[in-house]
Amino acid sequence: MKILKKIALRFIIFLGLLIGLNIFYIFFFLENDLQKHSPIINQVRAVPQDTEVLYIGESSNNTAASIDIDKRAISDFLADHYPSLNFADITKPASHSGIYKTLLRHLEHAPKIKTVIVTLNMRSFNAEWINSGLEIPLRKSMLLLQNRPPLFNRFMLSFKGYPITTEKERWKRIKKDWMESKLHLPHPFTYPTTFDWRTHIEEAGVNDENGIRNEKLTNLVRDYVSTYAFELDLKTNPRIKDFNAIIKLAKKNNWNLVFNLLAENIEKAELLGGKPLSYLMRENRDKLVHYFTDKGVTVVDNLEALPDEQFIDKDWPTEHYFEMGRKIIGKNVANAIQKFHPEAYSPKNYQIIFQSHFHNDCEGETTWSRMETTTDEQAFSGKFSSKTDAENEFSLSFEFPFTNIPDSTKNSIEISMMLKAEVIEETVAFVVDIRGEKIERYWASCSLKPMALETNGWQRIHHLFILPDRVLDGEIISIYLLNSSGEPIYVDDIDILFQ
Amino acid sequence: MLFNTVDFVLFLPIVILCYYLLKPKYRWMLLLGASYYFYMCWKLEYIVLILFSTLIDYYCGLQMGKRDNKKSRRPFLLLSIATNLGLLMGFKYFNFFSDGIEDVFNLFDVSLSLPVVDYLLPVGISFYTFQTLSYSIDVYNGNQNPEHHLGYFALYVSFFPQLVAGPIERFSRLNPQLKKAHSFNYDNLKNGLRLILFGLFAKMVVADNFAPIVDQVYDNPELYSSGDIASAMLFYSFQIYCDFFGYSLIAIGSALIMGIKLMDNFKSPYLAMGIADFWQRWHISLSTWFRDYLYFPMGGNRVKISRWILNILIVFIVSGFWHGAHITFIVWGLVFAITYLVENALDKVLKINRDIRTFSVKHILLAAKTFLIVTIAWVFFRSENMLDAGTVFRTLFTGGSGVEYIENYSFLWTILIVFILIDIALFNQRYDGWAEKQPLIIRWATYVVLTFAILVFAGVEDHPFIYFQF
Repeated sequence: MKILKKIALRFIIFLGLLIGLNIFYIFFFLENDLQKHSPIINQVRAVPQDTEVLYIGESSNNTAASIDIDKRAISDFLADHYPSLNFADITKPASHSGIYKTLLRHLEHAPKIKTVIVTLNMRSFNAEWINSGLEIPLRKSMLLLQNRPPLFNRFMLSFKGYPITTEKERWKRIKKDWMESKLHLPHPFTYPTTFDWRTHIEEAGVNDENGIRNEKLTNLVRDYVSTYAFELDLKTNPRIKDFNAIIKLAKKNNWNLVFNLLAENIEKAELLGGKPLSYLMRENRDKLVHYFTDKGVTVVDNLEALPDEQFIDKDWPTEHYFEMGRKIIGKNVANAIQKFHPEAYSPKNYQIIFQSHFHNDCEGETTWSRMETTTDEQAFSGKFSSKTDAENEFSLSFEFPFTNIPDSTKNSIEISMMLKAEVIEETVAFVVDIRGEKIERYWASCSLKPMALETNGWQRIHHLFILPDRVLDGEIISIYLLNSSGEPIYVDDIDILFQ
Repeated sequence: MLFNTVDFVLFLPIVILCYYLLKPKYRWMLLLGASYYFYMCWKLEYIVLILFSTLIDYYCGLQMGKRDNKKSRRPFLLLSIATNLGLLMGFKYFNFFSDGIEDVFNLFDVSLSLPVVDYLLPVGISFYTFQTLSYSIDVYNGNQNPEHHLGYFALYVSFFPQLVAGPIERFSRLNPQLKKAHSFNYDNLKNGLRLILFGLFAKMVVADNFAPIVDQVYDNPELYSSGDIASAMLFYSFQIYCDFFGYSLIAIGSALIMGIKLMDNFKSPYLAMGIADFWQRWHISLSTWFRDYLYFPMGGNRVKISRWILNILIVFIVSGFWHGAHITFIVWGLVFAITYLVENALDKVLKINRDIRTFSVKHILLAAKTFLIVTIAWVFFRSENMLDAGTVFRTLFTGGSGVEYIENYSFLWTILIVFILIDIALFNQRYDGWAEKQPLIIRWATYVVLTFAILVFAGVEDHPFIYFQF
């Protein structure tokens, strides 16, 4: 008894010290650790105080194709329909409900949020994603954001309180799930499990039109089957548990919760895996929609919202959409949240644009490629310009479907921009690059050395490129400033005119 | 299950609590079950290997115990040796030998393709096979009575704190302790926790912070400057020391709480005054194993000088080979053998007296020289192959492209300096003993600092204990 008292006393003292250390940690080390191990916190903190609608999603939100005219995210297109509301987004690639659940707990600084739109990605429910290698760093990065004393979170990080699995172990689990995943279809089906179906594809292969096994096609069919041929178990799937936690959190915070079930390429799935595959996808969709609708959540069913041509990735299943696809998803979500914000709804119709004059003031409102080069170090107008130097050789780049330029204006391009540089070498040039399957690539450059002064001030420079007839059938055009000199050069107010 | 994981933080107290709640006669069952569970956390199937090794050695021990003379015992000793070395051969050295045979055939333009073993090396196989071998040899020599209780014998082979990376215990030392009815002892709890705390500090704060930097430099040494290479070599010396030293302390501390005293595996090795001294301080349980079961049976130093030289070469080369089936480990062993022999010769010629005052200038100079040799030898130990080791040495002297560089130097050097100072302060003693002698304030201050350092400064990348791969 005496010994027990002695131990208990020391234990209590040690516990007291830990509480003190926790405070010490919060004051002096926590922020540094968050920046190092959980930088996603910055995205959460960047959600403005007056946000009314929050969109949270993975890479589908902001992945754009180079030929998109408007490269904005789904959340931006959604916001277009509610010009008077304050929208914000948190976008973290490869994330899922388990990650969203943690992030949503850190929004105390934005008390005006009324509606939260959470991405529901059907692929994230499958065995491959649940046991994905990306899970380890994701789960690790979430540890410090858990709702526990910060020093305890750090303990969990130090003592590997997250799943650590080798590639081999992960594949073993995935294989086990595939083997146990029984497929029930309304008619007799040859393959009782995902594993059997997948194995058959690998062994038998898929032939091309000449009857020869086509490896690329075989892999694609196998990937579609691995991804979508499963029966969602609402009781055991960890994602469901996480979404339920989000529902609880939404109730606690009085948020209108919307699950945005993303579009999958069901058209291609049916083409590759036949009706059984699309049947399973639809069955899983129905389960999700019913399950969450019953729980009072607004579910936006986008599963079949997009045709095959709106999917960017052709060689594997993803939810990355072209501009029109992102606009359609945004519009569908906008429709669904109308009931929460009826007065603010101002529907917007998009149409394909034929355009011959383009302008970008580098302020971020017009999204071109390489937005990461914009900087507030210098600006001719507004606050930003695009900077090229040893780290970034390419300036903010205009990339556009050449097919969307009227043929009558494909004779020449006049490029004009404001430029600021102390040193201009021969290697600094305007570049025009036109490519496409039907043409031989056209790549033309024009050195800026003869036309620009080496001065510390801003100057306007321009050049006229005469295009040859052979580029008429080009598909994509890129225009940018190439700076291989390593010296810093700023450009602003870029103007491109097709004539 | 790794010692520096949440799993072990939960596992150990549960086992200890159950251990003291159980009647002593049932404790072996608990410890055996816990040990097998501990091992199966890595790979379920490999428990079969331990069971197989246990049963064969148990049987051989019993059979040898029934026989009076060595001659009649010999077949059973050979069976035990063949079983344990067979396991090692099959799982650890098969590819090394098959590659070697293929290379020999290739020299004569004969293409030979032997099968390749690509399964995962069973964790700790070199440790438990050597531990059971020592039992069989002791029984054979009549130095040890065979164990009749299969449960206790199985526990000796698999006792979880030291199962996967030692210390390699002798039967005569461990088995009586496993059988003893230990009652709870506060001092054991206190000292055990102190050792675990310090072990975690060495592993998680020192070794795990150096590990990613060392990996980064050894992956592409040609991209770094001479200074960075020298730093990486230095960091690796402390990474491997703190990694293994930390593991050993946690193992010793965990066993101590249950009243079981495991042998010390390290005694300030980097303050050794020579290579011979280093090997009396580094991985002591293995070096004494080689001394008792290889060096002495070959005649030790009571033979002609040429034979003694051969004995030394054999012991160090086998020691290198024990670590891994690769030429780099053999070269590592050879470096130690040669420096040991040269040092021995110089001692005799120059009449160097190593019986000197601790931390005198002479001690410091000799320790620095020994540390330099050991650090050079670690390059072979760490490199994937001889070509990589060559690149490290070449870059050390000529400098690489310098495209890459080590970041966060100030943090790493702070850790290094702090640890060196601690190592000096703890020269020839353990942290538990040192702490016992300190006033309450100092003692608790070190607990707080070590705990905080483990929680806040631990490396967060996943780096298993280096010696688990052996």
